Amino acid sequence: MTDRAEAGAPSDGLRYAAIVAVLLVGGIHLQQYDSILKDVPTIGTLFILNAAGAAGIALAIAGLRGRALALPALGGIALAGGAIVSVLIARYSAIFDYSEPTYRAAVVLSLAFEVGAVAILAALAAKSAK
Amino acid sequence: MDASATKRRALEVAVTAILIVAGGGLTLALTSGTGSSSAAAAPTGPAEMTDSVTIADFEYDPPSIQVSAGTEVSITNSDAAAHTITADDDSFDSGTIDGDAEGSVTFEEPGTYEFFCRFHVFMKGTVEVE
Repeated sequence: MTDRAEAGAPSDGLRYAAIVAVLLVGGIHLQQYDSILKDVPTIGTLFILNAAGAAGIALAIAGLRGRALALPALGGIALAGGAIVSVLIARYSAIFDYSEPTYRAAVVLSLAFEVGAVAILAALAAKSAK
Repeated sequence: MDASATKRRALEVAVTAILIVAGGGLTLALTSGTGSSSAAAAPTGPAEMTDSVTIADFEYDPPSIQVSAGTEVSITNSDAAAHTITADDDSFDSGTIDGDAEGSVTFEEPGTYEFFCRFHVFMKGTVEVE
């Protein structure tokens, strides 16, 4: 890695926080897929894809340094942000014939993880881009 | 990048991979067996004379019921997600039954009706009202 690539290196603490945040987002999607959503058309598949995507992004954050970190950080923001938007659509309308009319505990926890991940990943992306 | 930095990066990737595998495995181990393996589908088989319906894993059980006109059918929702029993022609509607809660619906007019869940329209059932 070049000095230029390392120039905007975020702290290790921020990278570790980003890894944990992304894994929490993926983890709750995996848990919800396995416990109740595996039989739900399309939504079940999207939940398992979210978990797989989160795993890939966490590995990329662990393995990359400097400005290269901006890419997985932005990917993580898209992953968590997309999940937030999807939950809100499901809350007030339907997405792929699926609705979440109530804020059950797993939905609230998922939203908390996703909002936290977006904030941490935004900080990571900003630090990496400097 | 020096050798120690390379070693450290490899270690972080390895630890992240272990977190993914261990966390994913733990999640699946803790929640496996709580969902069914069959996809929700249109009801098949003969209608069952009953005054109670259970909803579990995004399926009505039994999916086809037979009742006398004026019967109040009790509904037990075993899922975490909210559901309804709603007639295709809007002639009856249980209203929202929250997760792990009970509700009821009364079938007044004789005839054969198809019903579905307003929040998960892939969930389907039929009722024969005599």
